[in-house]
Amino acid sequence: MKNRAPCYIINTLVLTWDRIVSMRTIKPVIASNGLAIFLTIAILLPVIAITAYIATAPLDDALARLGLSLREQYAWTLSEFDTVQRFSKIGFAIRSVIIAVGISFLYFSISNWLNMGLARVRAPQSLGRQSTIIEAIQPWIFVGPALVLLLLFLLVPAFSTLSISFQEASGEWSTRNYAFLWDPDALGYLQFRLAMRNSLMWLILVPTVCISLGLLIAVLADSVKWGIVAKTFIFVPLAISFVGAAVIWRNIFAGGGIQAQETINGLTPSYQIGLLKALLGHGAEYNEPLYNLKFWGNFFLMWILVWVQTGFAMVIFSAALRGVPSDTIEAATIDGANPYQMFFRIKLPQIYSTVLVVWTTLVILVLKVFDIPYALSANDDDKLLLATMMENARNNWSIGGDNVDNLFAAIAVMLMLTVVPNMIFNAWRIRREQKEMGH
Amino acid sequence: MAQVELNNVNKSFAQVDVIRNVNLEINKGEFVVFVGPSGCGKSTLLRLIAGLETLTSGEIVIADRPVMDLPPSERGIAMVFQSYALYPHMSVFHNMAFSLSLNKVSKAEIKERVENAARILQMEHLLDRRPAALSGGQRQRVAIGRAIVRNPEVFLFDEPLSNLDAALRHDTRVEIAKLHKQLGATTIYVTHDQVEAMTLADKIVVLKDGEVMQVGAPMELFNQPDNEFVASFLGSPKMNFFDGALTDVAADAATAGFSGEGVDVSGVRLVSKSKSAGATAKLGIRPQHLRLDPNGMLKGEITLVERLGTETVVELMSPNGTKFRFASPESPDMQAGDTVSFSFDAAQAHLF
Repeated sequence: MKNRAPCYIINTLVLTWDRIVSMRTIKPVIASNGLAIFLTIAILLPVIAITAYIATAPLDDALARLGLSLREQYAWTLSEFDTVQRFSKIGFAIRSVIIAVGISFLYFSISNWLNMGLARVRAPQSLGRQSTIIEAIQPWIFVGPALVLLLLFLLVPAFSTLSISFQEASGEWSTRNYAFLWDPDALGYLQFRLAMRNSLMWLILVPTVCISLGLLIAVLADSVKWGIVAKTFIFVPLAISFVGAAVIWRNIFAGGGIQAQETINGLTPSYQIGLLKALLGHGAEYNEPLYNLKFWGNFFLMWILVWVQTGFAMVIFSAALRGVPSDTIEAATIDGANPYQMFFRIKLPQIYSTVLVVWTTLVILVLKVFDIPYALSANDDDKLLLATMMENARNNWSIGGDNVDNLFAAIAVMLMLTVVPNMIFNAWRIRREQKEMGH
Repeated sequence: MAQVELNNVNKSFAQVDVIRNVNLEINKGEFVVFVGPSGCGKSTLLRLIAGLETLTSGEIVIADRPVMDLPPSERGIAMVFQSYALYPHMSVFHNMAFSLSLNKVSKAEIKERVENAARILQMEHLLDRRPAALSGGQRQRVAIGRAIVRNPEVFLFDEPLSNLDAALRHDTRVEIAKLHKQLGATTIYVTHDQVEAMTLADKIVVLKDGEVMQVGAPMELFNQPDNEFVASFLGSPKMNFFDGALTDVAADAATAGFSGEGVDVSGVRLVSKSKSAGATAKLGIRPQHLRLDPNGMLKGEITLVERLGTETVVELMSPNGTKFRFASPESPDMQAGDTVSFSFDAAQAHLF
């Protein structure tokens, strides 16, 4: 029994040494396996894709011939050239989809097969080491494509925008673009100032109203029998595109007039069917749409986004409220909370983090909105958002001279800056929550 | 005078009757335990008293006021939940102060009452913490503290110990008993654990399928069970039952004789008063009340011996194939396969 102790010590030492050695030797193996897989994929997949495109090219011609024969048979008025163009484009679209899906499959199967195979070759003796190697590389295989896309289409453009905004057209570093935006004497200043004002109004009002309405509906709908039906009606607009929603609300906000009349700004005659104005009894003489009103028009535009997004907030809050433990609600009932106190002091604080997530999502969504004012042609100076102003600046400003792209970038940076307070607040909140949990 | 009175209380969910005709009187300062197997309706009964469920029919009176139409907050009750039900977003202080602040009690008084409750429960140092930063036992205290602060007529406890580990459960049980002595408040306590029921209660209410099986002091229920269910529910290990027939029933039906399993006794307490001689009956005798006796009438072959240290529990099989147990504080020299004989005191047996 006594001489067991040295045995244990030696055994432990050997095991520890083994582990050190294996850790030291396994990292280069992982790195080299990863590199091998990356290089294989980077070379092989493009070659396969190009070969596949070349090999399937006859499909376009076949479809073009089919189109021509159909044209002959049904005596289409479409010209021969257009027929060929259209049908070969359909062919191209079909094989693009098939090749893209196929390449994605190939990517995962080849990289996974390589990962397994290489691990088996590099560590033939130990199943444990094999799985260590495989598991170290596998996540990167899945995350890799997304990371590349993110880098290519989000991070690189963001940083190049930032750097362009601090440059002259000639490439010289300068802050003139920002100085120009904030210069009261500059021609674009009024537009910029209005766009800043409107964007901030949208950023504050739309999420606030969406969240308040969403919460209200989520709470109220749970207390009536037909709540599910009501919630469905409020949720449906979420499936409508912004342009679609804008068109729908145009009919309600449009100019008044019971009779048909000439359109204001188009060439085709249109019927003014503005519902609200009709209800107010406004005749043809008040034919300005509500969303065109000076300043107040902004709120009609915002309402469209609120209408679309309230359903989103409502659904999330409805689920979150279900997650509030029923015993805390019962405890509060016994403590004597009335419905208002129950909501504001027990339920709401418990879904606070959900509210913040929805708020952040909505803020980011609002920043991207340009289509609602565009679809209603409500993009005069008074209705400008930073997003729509960028496009305006690009098309109409001659003041920037050659610098126009750089100015454009500066506006984009200002747009990014409007989310910074939100980001800081979120970061602060997450840190505070972690602190409270004792991390 | 009764502090809580239940008269013909009935509760059904859809077609299912969960509480059937419960009548109960609870005196001021009494510690009453509702006990029964899961699904017997004990929690529902407590929630009916609290007002979290509505009565189907019947009457509940607390401190001489019928409370059926009062909301829970006005019934003069405070409840401690099984899951504690602390408000996760409030500090311990605010958890305890919540009901007071809703009642517009002044800040100074809130502070005084919360601190007083915290002192009783020895948790003054926890007042600033959030529930997430507390251990199970500490959360339990906060839940109790929240009830104390309200200064209610009746405390309601819904299986408050079932989320604690065994050691803590024992400590907390002792503390609840002390607390009850200290505050002297009327308490209704729900549990499925007979040890809690026996140790804490002034009065135990045994429930089965929504009906009250027996009400009484712990030792009364233990020594004079009204029916087979109560007899088998209380006591560990469970009471042994032997099938047989009644022999000579006394004139006042208080005692009777029994014959079966090779046993022939007379003068046993007769529980089922309506039975007459010759009827089939069950003889109930607790494992602790069996005596090793070479000349005993009850014989059995040992199938298992469990030595628990404080007690030895022996499982046996009678010649007729009835399983029964013998429990002894000593550690008798026995092995599986042995056949042993027992006798018992007729005064400690029951006939059902």
